Amino acid sequence: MNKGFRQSQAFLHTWSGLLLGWVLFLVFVAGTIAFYREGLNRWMRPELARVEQPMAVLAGAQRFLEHKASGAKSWFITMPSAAAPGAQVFWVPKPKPGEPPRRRSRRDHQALIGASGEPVVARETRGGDFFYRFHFDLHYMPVLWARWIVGFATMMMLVAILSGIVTHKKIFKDFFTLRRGKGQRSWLDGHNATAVLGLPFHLMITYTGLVTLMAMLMPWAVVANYADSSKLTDTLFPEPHETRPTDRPAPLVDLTAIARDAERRLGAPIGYIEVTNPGDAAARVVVSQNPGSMLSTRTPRLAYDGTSGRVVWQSPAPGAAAVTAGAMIGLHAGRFADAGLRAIYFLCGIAGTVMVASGLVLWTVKRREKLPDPARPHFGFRLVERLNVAVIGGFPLGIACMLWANRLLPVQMQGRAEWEIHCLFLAWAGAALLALLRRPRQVWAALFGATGALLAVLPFYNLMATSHGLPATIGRDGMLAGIDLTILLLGCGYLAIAVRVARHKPAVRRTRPNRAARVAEAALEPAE
Amino acid sequence: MTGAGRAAPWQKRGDMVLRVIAAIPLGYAVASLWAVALARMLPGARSEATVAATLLAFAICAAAAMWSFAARSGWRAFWSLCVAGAVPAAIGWASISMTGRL
Amino acid sequence: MTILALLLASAAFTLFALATQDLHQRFFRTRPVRRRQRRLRLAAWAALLLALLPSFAAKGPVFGPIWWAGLVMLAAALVFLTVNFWPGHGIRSSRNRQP
Repeated sequence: MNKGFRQSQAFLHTWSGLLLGWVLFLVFVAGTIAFYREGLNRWMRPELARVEQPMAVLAGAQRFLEHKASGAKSWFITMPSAAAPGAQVFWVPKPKPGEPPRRRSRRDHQALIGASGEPVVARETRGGDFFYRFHFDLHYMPVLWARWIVGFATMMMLVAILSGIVTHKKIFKDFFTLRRGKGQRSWLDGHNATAVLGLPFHLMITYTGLVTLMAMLMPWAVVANYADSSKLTDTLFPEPHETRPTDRPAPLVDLTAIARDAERRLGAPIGYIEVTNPGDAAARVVVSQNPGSMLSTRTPRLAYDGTSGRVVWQSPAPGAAAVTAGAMIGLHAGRFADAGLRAIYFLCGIAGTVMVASGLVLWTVKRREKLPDPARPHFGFRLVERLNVAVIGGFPLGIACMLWANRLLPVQMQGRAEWEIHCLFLAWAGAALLALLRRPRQVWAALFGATGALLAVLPFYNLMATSHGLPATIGRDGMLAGIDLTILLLGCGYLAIAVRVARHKPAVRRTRPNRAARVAEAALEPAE
Repeated sequence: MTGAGRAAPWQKRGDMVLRVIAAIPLGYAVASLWAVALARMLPGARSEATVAATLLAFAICAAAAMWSFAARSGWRAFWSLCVAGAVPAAIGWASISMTGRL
Repeated sequence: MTILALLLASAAFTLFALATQDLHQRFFRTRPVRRRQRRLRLAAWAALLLALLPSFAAKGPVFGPIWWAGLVMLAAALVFLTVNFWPGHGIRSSRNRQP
């Protein structure tokens, strides 16, 4: 391959990876955790029992909604699986005549129906859903900005991956190479290993990540073909024709009967139930197949008459391009993955996180060796070095603090869910401040050590303070046990890294500036 | 990165600026214009062509960014992408003028 | 079936590893000639593709290839870790024989 081409791509790889690398680190960490979002939804509400009978929960949800939201315009019910903490329900109240349409506040019109069929009484928390949302919506900013930032960073990631493949000269020859204790070359080998071993995953997750945001990032094909984009929406997301409420009350058919019928017809479990005009003669129930039961997220749907329970509509089969897009989104979200494949997804996500982090660190390691004056690095170097510590060291610490906040914040506290997240960012801000003020080497060790200690102790706290400690969950509740074990392992891992960093002795450099100047500089250097 | 080692610093900076402009705004524009042209030209139902064109556009965007740095000079990267964008722009404009949109 | 696929993929990467200069030297005490390298690599690719069959058998036509890709990455990682962290056997090529 042309040497000039490879060099140009090496340059592109470095900058495309570096400039928004810290955003990519956040996205990878949160996204990797999000593979277990349902598990975390349960883990972060230890009061909840596991769902054993989804149909019983659905019946409870119907009872609850008929009592609480009988006059609503529509109900939305998410069918619970064994993994989920319950059935998430929300409803849209009927707009009162004369009242201007106002943005419904979701909070007042939603509930979680637990395993017993009753609305749950559990600590208020965003649970695992926070990590899922964060990895594209970030936090403390309008979602549109966040998605553009993440989208832009993802395109830079794609360019970094492709240019990285081009640049990596001996991808096959050096496939198994890991030189240890050799400074820059060790970092390079680590970065290459995590990148190449997980390459199919990294390419897939990045490209499909762009696809999940395609409506926003690349709307021009739609604009080219449609003056009215709702026509496209109608084709891609077909709905049965709308029915107007007749204002004649009629009892809603038993939803569990409809659910069972739908599962029989679809040959797969169902995911969502939408009821329009419940309690009216023109009630309609639309059932969607569970998105985890197939690859594409655009699952088939059935519409039933709400009073008789007859099927009135079936969604038409989507075209090849629509299926492809749905499959790509499905691959990204991994909802279809069973326990084994989900574990592989998670490991690949960790590899991706380490790839990004090692790339960021590699940049400083490489340039440190080339600094004309290691005691006074140029601004760019200092910026990258400090940002590395602040983000790679600080964000995981924030997450560890958030998990602890989930355990320690008073259950009855107002705004508890938001405060768990504030704890994450407060801890992270503290870490960032430390990164700014103290020497990087000390802060790396301190942050990794604190993160490791917090994570490693957490399962023991669960053991003592909740009924879902490891001895109770092992063998009985694989998800909760798995989460506790993973937290323990990660904690030990972080502690090991912290020890390694604390013990690391930087190689003594041969000095290049002349002796006299160096002696003078040393005299002026403040004592540590 | 390619380029004569003896280029003056302002030339090198100008070269880099051109490449970055080519890679980011111009690359996105080229990808978007190809999305338009493909959406118009691909056979089949319009909804299908629209989705297919959108899925492909991201690859075009990445390729444009890589080309911006592989090209022999920043100026070459810039004008070649302008050409690469003009072609689908013409196709798209002609198609929309003739048959309109849904 | 999934285990079979994983074993085949692991065998494939082991063969790839043995085809490299350093690791062949470590196990067979001789550096591999081109023909041997090519044979080992061919066998490795064959094992890799063969692993598709049990993946399809276990998970069907849609999820089979996805599992295959996942198992291939897992196998690559396992062989990589074994080769580099097996106690007492760090990679020591003639190039890096410095303390």
